[in-house]
Amino acid sequence: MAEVSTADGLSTRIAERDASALGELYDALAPGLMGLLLRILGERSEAEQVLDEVFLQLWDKPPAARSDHTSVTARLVVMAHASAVERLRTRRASASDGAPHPNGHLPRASAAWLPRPEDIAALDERRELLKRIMKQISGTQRQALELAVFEGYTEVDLAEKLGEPLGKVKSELRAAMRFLRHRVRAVLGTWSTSI
Amino acid sequence: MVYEHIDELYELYLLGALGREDSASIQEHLKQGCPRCLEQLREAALSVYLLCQVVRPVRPGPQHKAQLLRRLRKK
Repeated sequence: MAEVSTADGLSTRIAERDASALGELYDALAPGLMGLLLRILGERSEAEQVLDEVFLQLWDKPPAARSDHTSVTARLVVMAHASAVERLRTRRASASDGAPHPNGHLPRASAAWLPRPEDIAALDERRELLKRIMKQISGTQRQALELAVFEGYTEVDLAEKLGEPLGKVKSELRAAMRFLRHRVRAVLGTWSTSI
Repeated sequence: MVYEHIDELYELYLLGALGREDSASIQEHLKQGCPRCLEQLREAALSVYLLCQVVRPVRPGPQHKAQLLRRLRKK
């Protein structure tokens, strides 16, 4: 089993209102989060606003140290992604007819399903391998995946944007996710599995 | 609930990429606290985490950390 990362080891101190622990967490995670936020939002100042939001939310509502055994790293990544996509969609809606987005509910990060620290650490240890694996996803599947992850498109939006039937877009996205899920299982489970 | 159907959807649910009907049926099911599906969702969150990690890291502005820590110390 992989060691729990330094970032995830800081949760207890953050829950005890130790600001220096939050500073250490920032040092470990801010560049990765900023890269994600900038990729989604495209504007540095807005990306920094969301970065503020996620760290301040963690400070205001830290995971309960005794009962919450989920990864704070994964929590911040999920929060940052959701917040940035919501902003991007609002911006896109204002630029068109201003109608609220009817699809694409983004669930709030929850201890009920966030990954465990040891699983995140195991993935982080093999990050380079996993990046190579992701390059194995076919061109059309990867395009759909990137538009969904970084540009906040739903399946319905994607079908419209790409001019493809909805059924085809759904199949592409689901096949890409199945591929990724199986590789994650291989990395976390039996290394003898061919990847 | 047909598990095989929603097992395929958890990553897209977490990314907010599903249409209203699929998203609502998952939300409704999860409200029941189904342990099997929560575990599937936890696994899906690993894939979402990975997808968010493929971008190149970028340093925030040089003053950003100090400003953030000042804000939270005032709380």
